[in-house]
Amino acid sequence: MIRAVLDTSVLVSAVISPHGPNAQVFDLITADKILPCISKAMLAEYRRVFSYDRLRHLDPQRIAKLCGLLEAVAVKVRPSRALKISDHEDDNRVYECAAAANADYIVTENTKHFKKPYKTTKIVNARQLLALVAEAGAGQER
Amino acid sequence: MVIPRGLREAAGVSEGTLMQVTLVEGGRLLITPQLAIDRAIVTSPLKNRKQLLKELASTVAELRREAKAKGLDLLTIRQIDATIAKARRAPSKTTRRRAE
Repeated sequence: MIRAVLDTSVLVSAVISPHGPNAQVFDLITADKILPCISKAMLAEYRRVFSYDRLRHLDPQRIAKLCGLLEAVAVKVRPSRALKISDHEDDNRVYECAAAANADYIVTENTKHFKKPYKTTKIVNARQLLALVAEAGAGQER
Repeated sequence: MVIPRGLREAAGVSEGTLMQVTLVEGGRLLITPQLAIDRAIVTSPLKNRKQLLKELASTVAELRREAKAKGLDLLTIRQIDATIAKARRAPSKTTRRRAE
């Protein structure tokens, strides 16, 4: 199964709207077609961002449940080494999670922040990942 | 900061909960739990993966309905990024702490 780390903006976008590629990627997680990977730092940022600006208006109980369920179904890793790949320090936590989980992809809307792939982890946006999943599905049917 | 287990459990705060610390009258500190993870879900031995995924889909569907009702579904990626940046730059009064 494809292993992917979702950048926070992808998760938020998927949670607030059922439309668009980010939502479709999340729906592939719930369909057990994509295996999400998380670390403590990633999970902390996921839940933290929902307490700011307009996102804080979402029911905290539902957000707590979302985070709990995500933690339960994801591959949980403890990155053992700090990486310094992105100029944006917080984005290095995403790289660290991906490296520890041997993730196939980091899914992000900010490909400028994630300029380089890391080892076997590629950087894609949701639309690109959906195309890759569709391609893999078509390949299996042949 | 470590909160004694007894106090933490009495307050219904799970380990790893985000806490907000504010200064109140008389130089006292008020510690308020912020968004938490529903730890019971994570540790529940009764649910298999299929059930958890179904519940995840259902929770996200509820959140999407709620977001739409509150107009949050119209947020752009740029606005979402701005919120993430704000959360990352959060003032020191909000810190992530291990409750135990």
